[in-house]
Amino acid sequence: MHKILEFQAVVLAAGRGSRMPDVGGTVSKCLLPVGPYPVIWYSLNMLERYGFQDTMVVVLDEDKSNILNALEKCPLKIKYELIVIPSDEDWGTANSLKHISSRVTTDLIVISGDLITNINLNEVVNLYRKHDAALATLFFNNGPEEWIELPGLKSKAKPDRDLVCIDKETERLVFLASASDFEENVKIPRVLLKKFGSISLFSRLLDAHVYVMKNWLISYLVESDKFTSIKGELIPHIVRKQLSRPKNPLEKKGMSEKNVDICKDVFDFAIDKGYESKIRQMSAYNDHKLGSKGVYYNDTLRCYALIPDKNTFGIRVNTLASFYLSNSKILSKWVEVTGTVLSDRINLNSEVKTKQIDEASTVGEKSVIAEKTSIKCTFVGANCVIENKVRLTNCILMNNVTIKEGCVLQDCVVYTGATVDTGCNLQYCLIGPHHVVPSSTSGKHQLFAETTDNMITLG
Amino acid sequence: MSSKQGSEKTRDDVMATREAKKLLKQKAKAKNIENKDNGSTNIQLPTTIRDSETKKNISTNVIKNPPKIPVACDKINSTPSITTKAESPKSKDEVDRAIQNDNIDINADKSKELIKAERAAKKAAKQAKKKPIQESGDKNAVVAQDFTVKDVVNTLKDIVNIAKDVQAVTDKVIAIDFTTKKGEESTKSKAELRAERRAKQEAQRASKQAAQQQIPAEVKTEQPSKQVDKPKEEKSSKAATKTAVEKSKPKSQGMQKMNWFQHLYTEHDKESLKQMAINSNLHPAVIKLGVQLASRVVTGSNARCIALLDALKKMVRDYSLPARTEFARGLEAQLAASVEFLWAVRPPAASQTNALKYFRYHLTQLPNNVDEFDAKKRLQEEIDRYIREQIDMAGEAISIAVRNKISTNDNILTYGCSSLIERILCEAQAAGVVFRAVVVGTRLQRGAREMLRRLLARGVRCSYADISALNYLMRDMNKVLVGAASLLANGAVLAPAGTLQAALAARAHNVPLLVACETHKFADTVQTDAFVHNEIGDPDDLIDKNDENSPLKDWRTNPNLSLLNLMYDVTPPSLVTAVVTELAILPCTSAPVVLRFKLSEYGL
Repeated sequence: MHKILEFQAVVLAAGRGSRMPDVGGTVSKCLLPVGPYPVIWYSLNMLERYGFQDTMVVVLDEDKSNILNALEKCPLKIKYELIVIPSDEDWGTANSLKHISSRVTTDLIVISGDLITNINLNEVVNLYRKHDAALATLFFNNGPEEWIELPGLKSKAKPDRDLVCIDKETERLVFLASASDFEENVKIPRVLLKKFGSISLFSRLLDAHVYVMKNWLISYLVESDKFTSIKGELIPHIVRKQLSRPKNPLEKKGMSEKNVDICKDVFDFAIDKGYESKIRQMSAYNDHKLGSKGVYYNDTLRCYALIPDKNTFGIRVNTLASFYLSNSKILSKWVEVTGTVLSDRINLNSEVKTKQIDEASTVGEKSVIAEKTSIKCTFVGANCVIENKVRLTNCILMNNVTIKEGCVLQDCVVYTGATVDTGCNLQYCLIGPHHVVPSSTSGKHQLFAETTDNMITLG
Repeated sequence: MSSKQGSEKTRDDVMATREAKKLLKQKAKAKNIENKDNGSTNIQLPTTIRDSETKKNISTNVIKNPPKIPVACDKINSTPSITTKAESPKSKDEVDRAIQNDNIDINADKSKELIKAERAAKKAAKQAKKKPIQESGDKNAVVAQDFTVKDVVNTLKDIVNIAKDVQAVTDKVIAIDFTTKKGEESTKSKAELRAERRAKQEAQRASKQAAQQQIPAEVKTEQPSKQVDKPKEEKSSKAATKTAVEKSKPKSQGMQKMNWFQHLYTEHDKESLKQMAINSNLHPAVIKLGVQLASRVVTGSNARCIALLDALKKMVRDYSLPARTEFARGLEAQLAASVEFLWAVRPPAASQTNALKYFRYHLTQLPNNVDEFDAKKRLQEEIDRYIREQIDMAGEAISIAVRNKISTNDNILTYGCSSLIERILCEAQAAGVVFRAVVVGTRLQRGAREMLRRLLARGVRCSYADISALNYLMRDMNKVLVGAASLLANGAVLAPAGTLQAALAARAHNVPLLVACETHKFADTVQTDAFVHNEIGDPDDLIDKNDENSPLKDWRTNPNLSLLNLMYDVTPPSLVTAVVTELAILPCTSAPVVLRFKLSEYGL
């Protein structure tokens, strides 16, 4: 039987990881390993868990083959279609969405490719369904960030903050802006305060970049052609538009006669096609207690935000801190996040000779770990070679890494193809892709990478 | 996982045996040469030796004092008890963890535990060995070694057997837990609880027996009993914590069900909507309606009816006929699935069942060879017609009929929220009739306040009163006008809870009670009280959430307290002055006549 889809899913995985430290070379953000699998697998797995049979994945041109290769090795049943966007042009997320707009026939769920969470997607979707919303979003309330000592150079990168206003009574998302847009004062429209009795302003919420949106929003996006970023422009615009009223039809007529403004308004897209307004009128439901306004304040545009409780695990792997944190937490949250049990922690095709490997470690395909090594809380990627007398603690080793004899690494991140020569002693270090760390190097909080021709090690 | 670990284990075992053999050989050599005891090597002796034959060969060379063997034996016999002591807490752990962990984890844990238990046994054996050796000199020591080795092998085998049994038992317990958990989600009646308990006890008894058989007579039989008792306690405590931790459970588990109203509780709980797969086989509109019905965004008889028809219309519009299927049959299959889902979310209102009957009737009336396009068009038109005729036009007719009955400066009391009453009053106001309305509601029903809001927005002179003020207000009233969820075949009025009270007060003060009800809400069921059939609302609605100190705040923790939130009550025909329908103003006992009339006209 032909199935009528309710939602289509898009995973946006064309991020360049601009918030990650520069380690030289190209590292595609969605392929960073978290536990045994790349980051993007978690988004796809989540979609699969909640019943999606296929999804679109927007990727950069240059990453396509790598992503295909990486995903082939992961256990996935969901069909994914990689949609390529040119890597030399700097496309925003809204551009990507416009790119795929011709394929979108139903309502859309947009998910960022760097999301790892155990949220029940149905909660967001049900919120969206319940209020027949134009847009539903998801914010995590993770509380203050845990302080962890990060590898690499000590930096004072400030995380991007969003200012999010949510009406307590109706759960509506009424104001959204980036904190960096404001210098000292934040101006909140007076209409907003007048309309909604008690709004809460949050500044520490983590936007999960999960958007459930109406199909007509895509048409609007294509039509208006003025947005480049979903998060930065489209969503705030729609949220703002909730406050304005649709123009009077008479007024509009006058304008089109003069041919001054043919540009369509959002409200021309948000039209009920059935008996929705009649049902709303008849139903005894109202989402707010006071005032003389009808249900939803008679708004046609409604945006909602779901803030799950604090126990929910949600993280976006877009900074070194979150990358490192997600790796340290993933195994303990594995069942919740993926809904499965991690069966092959140590890949069957790997060759692990040592017995001193603890349960918080994973080993990728075709990796060779020699005897007399000690491995604790370490994720070893594919095709790695770890020689004798190596001690690894809390490390992340990506693919094709070679660690030579007698090295001691603690809290390090070793990128693809790097080599650590004999007798090194490194703590909290980053080793860039295809870099060779000379033998007997010792360091703490350093970056070993080929950012220029010379190796730069800054303390 | 387990097989892998198993292989590892055997590899380890083989290695260990080899090492042990080596050591034994060396020692035998040393003894032959020096004939002296070196206790230091004994300590290092690994004890996981499986093939005792080779050891015998080695040790027989050394044995010189056979008669002393029994003495050594006695001493060594104490080893099993030690080992089992060491083992018992382990196995207790095992049971605990098995309960905590998921099914699949258990295997891994098991094997780990086994290894641990083995190690503990080895240690105990070693220590036991050391003692006799130190006491009874070199020659005995060698013999003792031989025996300890054998014994250790035996005890190890025992341990393995016991562990297997324990595992089997825990598996059973888990299986029981799992099945009951599934049951708990829907309903957990007392009988089920009892059965569960009995099963647990049986499992524990079995484990006890198994343990007793395995452990030699010397070992105190108290241990296994303790072993079984403790997990039981811990299990119960764990179950308690689980309910607290898991958010999904407490709703169904913690809710005490009223004894008299067992038959009213539905299997459904809100969690099922959260577990639903996105993009299931149901039409999106149907799923959306399901969510809206469950969250009461769509409430009210008319609204629910229109919403259902709207969803059906969208379903028809998007339906694509599979090859070689009759249109009516193909659609009926999908319709049945959708309806089952919707009714599970919230029991249907009479208006909904009637609308569905109507739709089905027209679906079956379609000719067999009908074109897909035509069929869709016709069905959608029928739906539109139903909404227009049965709801819109009927509402208008009733509105006019009631308006004619309102005389100038009437005081009209209404209860709760009804879209029809709202329409009547608003249109009467618009037509210039001068009257005053009093909306009566309860704290539970936000509908009444919504009604007030809507009436005020349209300029109707209104006041609001709580139901407790009903008797006082009734003195000044000229009419009571209420809506209904359904009019039953015996003329009784099924209406939101509280309507009966208003009707009684009206009767007491001799105020006429008019019930406004379109004929599409007439039902062919008979009910004389509200207990036979009713809908149970969310008991949390009964609690004043603004009150921090509400004594009912954590009512779920009180096993003796149960809350009951009945949605409807039944007003007997004797209290109703007249029912206003679009056909006429009728006494409510003529409901069967209307039903018969409708049957002929609309196939309802």
